[in-house]
Amino acid sequence: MNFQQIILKLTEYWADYGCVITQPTDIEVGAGTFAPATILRALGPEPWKAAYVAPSRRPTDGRYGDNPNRMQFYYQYQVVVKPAPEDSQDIYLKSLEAIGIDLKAHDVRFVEDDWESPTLGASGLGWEVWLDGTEVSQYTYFQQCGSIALDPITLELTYGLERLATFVQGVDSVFDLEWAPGFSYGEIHKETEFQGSTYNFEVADTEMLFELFKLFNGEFENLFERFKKRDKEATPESEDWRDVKKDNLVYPAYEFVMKCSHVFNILDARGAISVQERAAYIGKIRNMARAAANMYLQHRKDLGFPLLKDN
Amino acid sequence: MPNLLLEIYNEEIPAGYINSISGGLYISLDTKIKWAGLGQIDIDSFSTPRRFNFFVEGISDRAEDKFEEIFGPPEKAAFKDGKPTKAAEGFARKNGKSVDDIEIRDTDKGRYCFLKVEEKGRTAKEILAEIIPQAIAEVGAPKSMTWIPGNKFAWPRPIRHILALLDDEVIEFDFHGIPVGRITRGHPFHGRREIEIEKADIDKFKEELEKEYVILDSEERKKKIKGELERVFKKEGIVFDENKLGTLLDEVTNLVEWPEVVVGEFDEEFLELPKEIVQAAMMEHQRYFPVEKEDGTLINKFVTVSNRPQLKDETVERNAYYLQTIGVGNERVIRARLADAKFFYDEDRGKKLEDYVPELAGMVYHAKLGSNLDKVNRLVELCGKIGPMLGYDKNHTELAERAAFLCRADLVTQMVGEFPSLQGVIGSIYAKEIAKEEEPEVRWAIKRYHNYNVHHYAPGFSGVVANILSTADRLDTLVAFFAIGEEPKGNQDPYALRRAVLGLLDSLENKNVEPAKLLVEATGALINSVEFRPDEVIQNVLRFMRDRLYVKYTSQVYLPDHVRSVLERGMKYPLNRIRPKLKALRNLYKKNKSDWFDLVKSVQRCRPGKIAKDLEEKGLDVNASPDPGKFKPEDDEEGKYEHKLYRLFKEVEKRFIELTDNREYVEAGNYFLEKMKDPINEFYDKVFVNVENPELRLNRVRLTGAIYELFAENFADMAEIAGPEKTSEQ
Repeated sequence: MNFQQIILKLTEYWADYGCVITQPTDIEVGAGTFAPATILRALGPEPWKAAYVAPSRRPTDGRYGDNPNRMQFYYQYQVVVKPAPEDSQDIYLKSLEAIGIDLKAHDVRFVEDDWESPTLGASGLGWEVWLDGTEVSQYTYFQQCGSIALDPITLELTYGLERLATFVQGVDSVFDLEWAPGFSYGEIHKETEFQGSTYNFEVADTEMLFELFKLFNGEFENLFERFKKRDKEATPESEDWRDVKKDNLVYPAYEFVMKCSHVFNILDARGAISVQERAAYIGKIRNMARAAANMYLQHRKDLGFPLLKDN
Repeated sequence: MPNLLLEIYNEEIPAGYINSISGGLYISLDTKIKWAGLGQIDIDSFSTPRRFNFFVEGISDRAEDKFEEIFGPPEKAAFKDGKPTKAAEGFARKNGKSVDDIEIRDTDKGRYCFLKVEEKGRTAKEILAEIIPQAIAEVGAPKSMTWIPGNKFAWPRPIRHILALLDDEVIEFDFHGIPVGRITRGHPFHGRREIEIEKADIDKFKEELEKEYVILDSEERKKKIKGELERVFKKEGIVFDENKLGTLLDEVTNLVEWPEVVVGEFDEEFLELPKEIVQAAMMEHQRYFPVEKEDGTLINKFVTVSNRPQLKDETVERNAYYLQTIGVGNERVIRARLADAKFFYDEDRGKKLEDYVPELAGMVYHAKLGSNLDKVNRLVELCGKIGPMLGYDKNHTELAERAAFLCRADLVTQMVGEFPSLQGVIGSIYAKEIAKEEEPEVRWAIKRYHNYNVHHYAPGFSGVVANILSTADRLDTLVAFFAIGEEPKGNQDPYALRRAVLGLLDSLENKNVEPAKLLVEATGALINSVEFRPDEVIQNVLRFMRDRLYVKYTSQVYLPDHVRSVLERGMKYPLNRIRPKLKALRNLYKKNKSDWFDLVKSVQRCRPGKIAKDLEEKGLDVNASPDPGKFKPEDDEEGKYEHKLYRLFKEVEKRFIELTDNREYVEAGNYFLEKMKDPINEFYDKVFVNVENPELRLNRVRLTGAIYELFAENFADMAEIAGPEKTSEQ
């Protein structure tokens, strides 16, 4: 099964399960978790099911395309289900069968892994899923997002698509994967890796990036200030409700959190951030994520948690 | 008598939690069942990553009946003219009895109503339905999670169902809505999903599960793994040594429900890597067993324990083929990890170890304490200062400075970035590989610095360099964190300062150096980079050391008052005197109680008391030496004894200090008793200390005070010693 078939099969499987196929987020993220479809939707009481490909950027993991398994740009397949279903492990295992893995023939393991994202103020408990020793997925029961304790709990399944594909195709290097008939992963991404690594590690203009971080952060603060000053007494019945709603722009605000996080990641790869500053930057992003989480919860509350009504 | 079978079925619990959760549940159940009066039972417990099981053979089917006597209203209120009143009726009704059951009895307070009420012992089923949820709720784990909507109940991973059988009956209870019944499940991927268990029979239950590829008993799983490992080693012609596996065997046993061993191979070229690196690549992340020969070298094979059983409905060939596939998959994983390790190793070795040291400037040690390079610079300086103070020669001191310079260099290597647990090991490997000129003691010290496996100790290496370095490190750590106000508070000890101080005390216990002097050097090394008050920090660290020593010695054979008496002044002096003093006190105390208390009393009598305090308040120095010229004349009735005691004190002082300096404390104690007991008593009998004449009074206080101080400073502060009435034998 080639790379794109795996994506298609997973999409088909999770669509059949009842997930909204939301499509990738159009802003750079370090992992699928950062997308609003996960980090925001995990908050609050409303049920949610979604699946999407998450193109992910981790500038520090760049190896110029020389390392067979490490890249600064790669693909995750992200699934979130809230509340976490009771038979979630069985459902997950069936998705592996859907991409042609005969579970009888392999050693499947759920290996303890407590996940934490300090920048998102998010954490969860779960496992890495191993197939014959290869980690192919992260399996997490979220406990906290934007520093807010969750109830109900969201299940997050993150397939490392390249790992999964190397396992399925039995190749040693990501770049040897067949993406589509006649096209290898390397033909599509070897050069993007080389250029991405070079840019992140050697070329990126750190002054510009610091400036960008400041600007993005500033714009976020503007939006957050706006939210804090909104008319707290207003209700959907109020005459000026439409104007009041304009004071909680959580989605644009959260986009600036994503942008800040990505800029920080490049600065980090570039070695431009000292250890002391590093903690301060992470703290800043975490505070932004927390603020956005609160904005989101307020926003959904204002709407009356509309997704609850079908349940 | 029925049997009880319980199973808590959850998703994969971290291997490290399993034994403690199983143990916790066992204790909880055991206590509660016995407390409830269901008999003196024995519980068998079993566990896998997915289940905790408990079996009790022969539990009482009900608790014993209980009788209770209940006080009621006074007779006067309950009966009027022999007829029951409302009060009597109410009393009877409330207790489920009739008025006829009421007895009248005489009590201290008069005649009162009584009822005998018997409480029927409840059935085991009722009791267990209460106990089991309580027991589960009581047990905690280091990290737990919630998963049930609207419910805060937390367990390390979700519990999916509970099996609770008393013989063939389900014990029904509600536990956060989790299904309770007679259903269990086989191996999660290869067994049946729902297995109905008819009755509480552990042998049948185990058999049933074994058919579904679950080995319930961890000892049996371990035995299976060990047996297969042995077979693999034998095939390679190597004698299998269980001791070399460390804790990995236990861990792996708790990772699978059905262990099946798979052997894999890797390229021989990776064996050129240091053994520790190859081992770490295998064991740390992948939990593979390396195959180590008797001589300690590795071969290019590994053993992994899979959770994939040999399936009954597959042919032998097919099963073998599958296992081989699993092996090939794992080989690919280890190949990638070893290739990474080799890459980092080669890259790292492109530089000399000392070349990494400057890079430590970019790695923070602590926000308020500067970088790791600052730390290294302090250590180098400190090693140079304290080496001679600890009694070591110039050569060793210089080697320690070198070791201090290099000891943190590996922090910035790529290899440590990849395998953090190899920190220190990498340092010493690189010291050998890329700094061949380093002395063996330096390499050893770097290794020891990170406290890596003690059994790697190679005889012939002196520990001197390592000792200087670790002492310097602990001194710096303590002083530095105290200086920035990060001393341990309550249970909070984030920088492990208690461990640091214990290590320091262990190494100073035999050294002839005052701890304060070492701390002065440590504060000196820090003073340019941090703002703090050195005297205060030194006093605080000394007190911290004293408190740890108190805990240490009182947990041994020494009496708390003895320990206090020695530590009170003892921190001013080299710590190598403390244990001999304690031993001597114990010895004197044990040998002859009446002599001991005579000694204690004699010294205590000399202790400056209220008179001294009044003088001090007037601004007089009571601690100055007594002046023989200011006693009464020799021919005076009092003067005679003043001069006598003074002369004796001068004589005893010399010899007493001689003895205590030689750490001959028993002799010193006996000598003091023999020489001073009678004269001291005589002095107090004949001489009135609190005289009108202030000069005379001051001089007498100085004389007795000097005697007290002689003992307190050089041996023990006897004010701390409990009198005979308070002393209890230990």
